[in-house]
Amino acid sequence: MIAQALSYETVQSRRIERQGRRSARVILRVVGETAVIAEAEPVEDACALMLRITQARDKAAFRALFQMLAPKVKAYLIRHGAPPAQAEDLAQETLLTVWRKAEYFDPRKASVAAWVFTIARNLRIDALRRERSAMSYALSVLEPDQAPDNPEIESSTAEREGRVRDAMQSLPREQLEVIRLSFYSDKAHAEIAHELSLPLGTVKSRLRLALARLRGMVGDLA
Amino acid sequence: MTTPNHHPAPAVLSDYVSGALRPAFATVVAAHLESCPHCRAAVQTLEALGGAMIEDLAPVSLSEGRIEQAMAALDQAGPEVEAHAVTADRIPFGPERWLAPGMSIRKAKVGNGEDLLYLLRLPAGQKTVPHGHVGTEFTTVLKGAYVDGEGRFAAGDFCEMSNDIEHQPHVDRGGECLCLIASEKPMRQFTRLGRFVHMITGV
Ligand SMILES: [Zn+2]
Repeated sequence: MIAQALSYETVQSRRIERQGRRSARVILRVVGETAVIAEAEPVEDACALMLRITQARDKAAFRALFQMLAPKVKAYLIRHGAPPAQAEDLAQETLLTVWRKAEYFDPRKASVAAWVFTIARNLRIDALRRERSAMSYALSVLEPDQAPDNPEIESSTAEREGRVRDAMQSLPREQLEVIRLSFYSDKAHAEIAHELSLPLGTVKSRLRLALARLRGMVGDLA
Repeated sequence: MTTPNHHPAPAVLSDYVSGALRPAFATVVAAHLESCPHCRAAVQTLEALGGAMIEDLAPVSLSEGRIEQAMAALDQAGPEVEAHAVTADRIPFGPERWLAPGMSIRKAKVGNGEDLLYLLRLPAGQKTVPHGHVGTEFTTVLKGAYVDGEGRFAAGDFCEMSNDIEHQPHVDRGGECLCLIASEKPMRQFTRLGRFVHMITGV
């Protein structure tokens, strides 16, 4: 109980810290007209860029989003064993899919990072296995929707992203280890158990506890 | 429609979201998700986690010129990406093969055929004999219901069986039961359908 209270407090303070950073960034941007601190804070958040893409087909926003996310997607694909050239092709294709399928993005259901993750994962599966797979399900549940033009959505999505990150950082080390192996490799939980020399039940219960904690802290996103 | 009572374990949902499930198994999970808002919400949370995991990685720069290549591609039409759901009626099933009165099997080819994906139709009231499984097996009930030692499995319910587990499902008297099943190959009983029928019905 004490441990739980402590970690909750840590999470709260992290959240406040981040909110502080965000408002600092806004101030910087206002002052930044003088270009003195233009490089101090680089970017708008991904959600704002994404809204400019969906609403105005804004190519400058796409360029910024590409610069922000393509190198991360490339890193993700390399983690999954893609050779660098293929990782680069797929990272580029991932961002182009963001542009082409922008109307499928629904900020009420997913953050930009989460959406990009599902696209990169699907392209990876298709490319590495060279086959269609059931993972296309993930795209299908995002019905094209009326353009989201509500500024509140932007802040709630950013806040939710923060909660996911806080939740992730608050996971016990052994749960995070299993999560990292799940997302940063091709391994299913049975193979992870084998690799860590753990009983299958232990890995399953770590994933169950991690998911319960995430859902408790993040809330359901729908 | 009521929501399902039997769900994939969180570890299975996590494998589904990370992309580690092979296509036949992912398809059976997807069939469950279609009728389960609870698991769809869990999947969304796991996808949000996937996004955070990507953002946490140290970036690896792309080669020079990549971004201009991408910018130049913006006005071109992309390859037509299919974005429709894999639903039971969109899986490329083969012909329905009758095994016994009211009992049939339709196999589907997904992936490179390393696993088996099939629709099994069992008639109302069908009793089976206790049978085990080779490797892991996922089932989502699409229609009707059966009862086994674990409880009642109705439309939308998901069941994972593995090696050592035996069960003896009994189809409801009210109507036939249609299940979407993925299992690991090789399964000797599938080389001869007669043996499959024998395995589950004892006849
Ligand atoms: Zn479920």
